[in-house]
Amino acid sequence: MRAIRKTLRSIVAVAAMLSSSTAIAAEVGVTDDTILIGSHGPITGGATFLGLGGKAGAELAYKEINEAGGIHGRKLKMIFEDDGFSPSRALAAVKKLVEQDKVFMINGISGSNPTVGTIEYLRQAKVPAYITIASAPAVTNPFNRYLFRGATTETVRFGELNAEFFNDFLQVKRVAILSGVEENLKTEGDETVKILNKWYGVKPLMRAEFKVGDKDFTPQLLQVKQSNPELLFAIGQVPEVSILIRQARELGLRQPIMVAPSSVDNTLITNLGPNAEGLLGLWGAGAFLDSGNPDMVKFREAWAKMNPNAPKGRPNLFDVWGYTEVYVIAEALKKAGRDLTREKFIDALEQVKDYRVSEIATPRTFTNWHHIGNLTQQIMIVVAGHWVPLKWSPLRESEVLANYKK
Amino acid sequence: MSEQASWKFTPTHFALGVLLILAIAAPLAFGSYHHYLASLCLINIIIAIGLNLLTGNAGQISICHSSFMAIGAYGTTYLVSKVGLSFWVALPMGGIIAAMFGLALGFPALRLRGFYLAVVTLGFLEMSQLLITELPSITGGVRGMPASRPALFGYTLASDLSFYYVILAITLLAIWCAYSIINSPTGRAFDAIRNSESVAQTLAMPLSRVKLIAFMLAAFFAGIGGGLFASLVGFIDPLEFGLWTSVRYIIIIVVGGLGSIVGSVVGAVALTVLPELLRDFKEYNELVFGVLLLAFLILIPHGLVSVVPRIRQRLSGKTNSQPAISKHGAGV
Amino acid sequence: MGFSDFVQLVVAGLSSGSIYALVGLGLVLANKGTGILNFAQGELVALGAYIALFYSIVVGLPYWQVFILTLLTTAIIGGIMERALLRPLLGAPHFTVVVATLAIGLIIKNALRISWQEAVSTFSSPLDHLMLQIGGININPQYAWITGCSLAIMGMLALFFRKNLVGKAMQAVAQNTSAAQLMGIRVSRIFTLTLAVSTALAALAGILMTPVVGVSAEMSNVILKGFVAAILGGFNSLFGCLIGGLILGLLEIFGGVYFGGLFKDITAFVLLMFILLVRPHGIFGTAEARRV
Repeated sequence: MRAIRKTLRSIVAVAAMLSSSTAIAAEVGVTDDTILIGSHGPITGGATFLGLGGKAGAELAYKEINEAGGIHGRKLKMIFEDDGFSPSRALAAVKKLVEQDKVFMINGISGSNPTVGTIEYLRQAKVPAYITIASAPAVTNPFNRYLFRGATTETVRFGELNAEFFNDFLQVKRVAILSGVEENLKTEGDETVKILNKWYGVKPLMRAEFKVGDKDFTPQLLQVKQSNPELLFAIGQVPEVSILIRQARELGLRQPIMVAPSSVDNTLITNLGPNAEGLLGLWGAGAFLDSGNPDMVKFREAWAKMNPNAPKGRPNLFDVWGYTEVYVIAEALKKAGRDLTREKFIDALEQVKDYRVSEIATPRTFTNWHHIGNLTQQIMIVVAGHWVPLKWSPLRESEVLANYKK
Repeated sequence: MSEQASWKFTPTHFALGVLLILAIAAPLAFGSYHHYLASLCLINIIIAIGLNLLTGNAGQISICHSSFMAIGAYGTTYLVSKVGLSFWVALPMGGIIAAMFGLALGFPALRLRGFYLAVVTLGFLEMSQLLITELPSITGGVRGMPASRPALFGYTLASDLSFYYVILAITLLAIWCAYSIINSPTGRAFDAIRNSESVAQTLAMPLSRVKLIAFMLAAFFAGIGGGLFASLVGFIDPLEFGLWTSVRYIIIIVVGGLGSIVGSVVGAVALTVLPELLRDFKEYNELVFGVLLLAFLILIPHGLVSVVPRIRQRLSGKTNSQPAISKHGAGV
Repeated sequence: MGFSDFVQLVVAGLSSGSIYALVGLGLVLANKGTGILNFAQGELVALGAYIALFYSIVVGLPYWQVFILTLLTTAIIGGIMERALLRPLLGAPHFTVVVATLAIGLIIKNALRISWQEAVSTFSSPLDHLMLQIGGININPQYAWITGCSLAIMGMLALFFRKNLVGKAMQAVAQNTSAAQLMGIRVSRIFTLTLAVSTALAALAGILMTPVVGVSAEMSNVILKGFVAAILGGFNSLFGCLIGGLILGLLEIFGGVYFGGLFKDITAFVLLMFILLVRPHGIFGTAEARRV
């Protein structure tokens, strides 16, 4: 018996050794003239709006950077894989990118759960991963040397900003919160409730949820109506929120409505028409999509040139994020120097301070004790059929970073 | 002993032997991406075999197979991470919990059939999805739940290769079990129910017991598959066990061949590998998959297993024998 | 809950219920007429909506022309689908045909997603931004239009089956294919016609839904509701389907009010299970209606 056990033990040990022997050399994915960057996101299935936008934005940035001569004489090359918004498929995609395509790093352009499905593997393989969109807490918490969060901010930060805005600017205490049950939406609702209570001792009058693909929100809205709030906070994606707001007005709810960053988009205004007037929401980038800001005009024109048959409503937030975050990566690659390794790249990223490619982005800062690139969001309001920034900035200091500073 | 005496080494045995050696040796030449895919293939084989017993053999429709998988996945992970059981205890327990739910779902099946049964299983799927999202303290809710790799003889099976061999062993065990079941009186009772419930009843078969057994077995296989899946991926969320996952297993057994273990195996391998091979089509991946699937079904309506006998027939020039699988067509 | 809320709920419930009935009816029609359980029915709903969107936005036609042209186009598509894709599967195992319709659905859904990537689009209808006010109760006229139009179309269909020779032939084929063949009915043509009508019904649901929910490939999920409505009604009659759909629509919305929005689907399913346990063939179904 003992002999059998011993042989089995050695078989397992050999198997374990064989698979861990694929140790990664420092300059994987870097040749004399190229740097390979792997990306994944949903470009099939129900969440394609996210992956296709992020991918198109990133492609534009790579084209511009390469046309300007690349980084230290090397061109950047992206390999993009579909993950269908599934953690198991995302893991397959990332494993393929890391082991078969031998990319230098991962730039994740996917949603929360698919991203979370890959981080343990990336951490163990010591592959730097710059996560552009996913807001899942697990990306940055606990702190990990190999994982960076770029464009989106922490969900807790959304909660802080929402709570302060309600109390400091709008001065409302009676709030009703509706949210989708998807990860990012539900968590944003929960965090807002938490911070409202913690900072201001305010409890929302009601909190209800809805499902992706719901077409009718009358039950939830009747609950809202009964609680008679001063503000309705509706957290969802554009398709659901469009119907929800229209039905709210039909049911005679005249209160101001605030929406979540996921639906601060021109399609919401197109869908709602006059019903969109006065809507509030947080915007996670710099100048808004249809603003006359010269940087945004330049981006829009370049984007349209690369995507001549673009659908209406694009470029959207994900195009912008896909684009701006590639520039952050490029900035760090520049700082890391010609003699590039993964560890040097991480050190360089940690030195990025208040960097942004242009005014279409908010500044990114990373340090060696936190990898949260962005804590800034802008409050927007719909006036005459356009989202315009509202002159308000938060005064309270965020508590997000306090957890990391020990 | 007498069985041993009648055992003869046939070309089929030779082919199986070669396949087994390949399954053991080939992964050594590849990396963790391929080990991961191969493991997914094996897990899909286990789950497809269960569904094929229920649908292909016993003729019962279920579109909640992904729920049984979810129950196994969440059950096993919960027992390991929150209760602190060993994975090797938790895995069969996850399967048993899934089987219990299978048993519960089997009762409506005693009264309902066809579409009516399908709708009830659809309701069960909706319910399981809702439970996963609404019980975050047990399941992690929509945020999902991390799962860990088990240890064997003191070694954590952290590498995909070592875990692959464990899954391979479990898959072989599952295949053997399914084979024994199909060739047992229960398996023959499955066939009888599928072909005609009234005939089965007149033959004094314990109709309800056989149906319940079929549901329990299918759920158990799916539960085991789910538990392994959770541990392999290391992270589970409710989206992973939605309607499309159930539908994917139905596609697997139809493409492979209804009522056939070989069908489940080739179907699972084909449909796990195909989307990976189609990666270069990027956003056209699913579209191309749909076209291939439709073309396949029109050309080979009886599934992959029907191809071999047909080729063999061509080679030997015989024309008399019908493909054995065709009789399964009527059994919805 | 006040009286005005109650009325609004009933109106909304009936309108979604009539959509479910239309989708369910398409399923029943195809299944009874040709033996096919068409799992692409949901995608055909989306396809109808996208074709209407095309006529409305790209071609620039007014609503009524869009309405009629879309129904005609989708009917032709349905006929072609039957001839080209489903006819070769005649005699194939039942499951193979079901999975083939799933594949057709997958192809349609992905083609729509790729060819029209707007997040949400909609086309204008004459009832946009109108609001009916009856005794202080706000009612969206779209809801009334959806219910009224579906009822009218179903009524016309019922008449067609009763009075028209082709309609009667379709009925005959549905009841007994081989007997109908012996009576000199060209069964293969009737098959094509049946699929054409059921596809047009799906498209009708799509056109009616669009002004309320917008066009998206995910519209296809409505097939599940249509399926449940049809089962509730017994999966064999137009009338059963209609009642099944309306019951489901109302159950959902009131389930949502009493148990919370997340539970509205589940309420409907739980009640459905009870109904099926008491009446295993739906409310209006009979045991011999079982075809598969």
